[in-house]
Amino acid sequence: MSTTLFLEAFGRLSGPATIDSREEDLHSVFRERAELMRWATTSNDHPLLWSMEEAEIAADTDPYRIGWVQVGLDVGNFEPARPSSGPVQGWAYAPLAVHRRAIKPAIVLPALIQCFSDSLRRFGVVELSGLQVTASFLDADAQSCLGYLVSVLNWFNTDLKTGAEAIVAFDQNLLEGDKVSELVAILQRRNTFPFEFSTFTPVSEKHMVSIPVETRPYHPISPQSDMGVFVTLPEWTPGAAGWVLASVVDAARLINPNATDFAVRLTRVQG
Amino acid sequence: MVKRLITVMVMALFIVAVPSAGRVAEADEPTPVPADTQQDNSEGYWSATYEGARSAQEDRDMGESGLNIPDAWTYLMSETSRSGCVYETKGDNPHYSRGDVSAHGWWLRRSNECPARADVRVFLYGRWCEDGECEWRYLASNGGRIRPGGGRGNRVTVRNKCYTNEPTYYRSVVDVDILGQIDPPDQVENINQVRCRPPGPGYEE
Repeated sequence: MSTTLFLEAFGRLSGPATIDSREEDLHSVFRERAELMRWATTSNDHPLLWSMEEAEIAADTDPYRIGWVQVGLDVGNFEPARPSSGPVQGWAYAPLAVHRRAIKPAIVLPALIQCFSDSLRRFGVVELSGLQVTASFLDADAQSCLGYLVSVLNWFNTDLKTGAEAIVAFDQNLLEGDKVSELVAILQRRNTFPFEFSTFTPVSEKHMVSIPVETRPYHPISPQSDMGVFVTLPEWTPGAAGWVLASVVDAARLINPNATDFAVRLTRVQG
Repeated sequence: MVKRLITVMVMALFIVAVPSAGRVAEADEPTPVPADTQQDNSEGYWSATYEGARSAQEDRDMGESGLNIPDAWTYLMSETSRSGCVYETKGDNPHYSRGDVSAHGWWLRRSNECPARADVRVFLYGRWCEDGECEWRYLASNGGRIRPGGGRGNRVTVRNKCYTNEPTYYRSVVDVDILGQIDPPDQVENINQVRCRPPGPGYEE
């Protein structure tokens, strides 16, 4: 049902682009990267993990925001649409007999963030300080992707001694109230080594989420939670950042399955 | 021999295109080449192959929407017929974009015979219902003469303003016109539900 993820990268973009930036923009580079890796496609009726919508480099106009991408998640299997409650009159969404099921954001986020990072690096040297994902119109869902998330942890089982520390902040739509301790308890119960989670308070203004202007006016603005999650990552990479955001969203939706519109931000603090 | 000559002449009139994204059967959809008029490919001529035939059960499952899960038609060109421009029409789903519903269209060059630019037009329709009957109602279109690839400046964008965030079905149609050549039935159509209600008689202030 018009399910959208809006992903922003914060930090600095410098140096020359390796892509021909007179011919290509973030929209085309992100789209083609996704096609190359078979993460998404516009070539048939099965768009795989997401459908391409919009993307822009923002570094020209915003010193802290590198760029953003917007994708649709209604790419799952067809399922019967709910019949309308009464005779439909005027502009309508009900009368088509089928619609696509939305794919879970926790499944999408690791590949989406990797694709986004790969694409941004075609436009210069990226110093990534944080990522924010803003979800709109998700289906209510309490089913976890825990199996997927813990089955990939060998990828992060490295000999690197240089881990990273980061803060996860979110608006109150995610948990519907202050249930951060409950969220962290779920994450800690999972065997997530080499990722470690704990509560963090207070979240300062520079770590807080900010609803992107591009999603307004329809994305509901919610107050910030002044508690966040502190996370130790084995490495500061798009893969590790994607895994953290996917895990937090997955665990949060166990607590609040009706979280349909929310924003979550991951900001590196050390390491 | 006469049959072969006719076949070659027919072949020369066609440009080959590969329709891609989700297609929807509608009254104004271009008619694909019927199976019984396909050319014999045994001698190396072009053929039209119906790859997405639906069973009667699948038709029933799909209901009245006409949503066509697999690609409907794929036009293949053989080794011996390289006189045409082989290209692909591309489009994305209608989606929300900065207060509008928006869709993009572009084209990809698949053979060296294609010109540097082609005319691309994107049409946007909204699903409109009245007295139990629903139809796709035209909202907006935009076009341009653009280079292939879908990169910077080489996409056509159509937009239509949202007045509320009520969900509405939209359909985009991308049409590519290769200059100086006869248009094949190669429009690409995409349908999506977007949280964006257009103005109009269905919208109440």
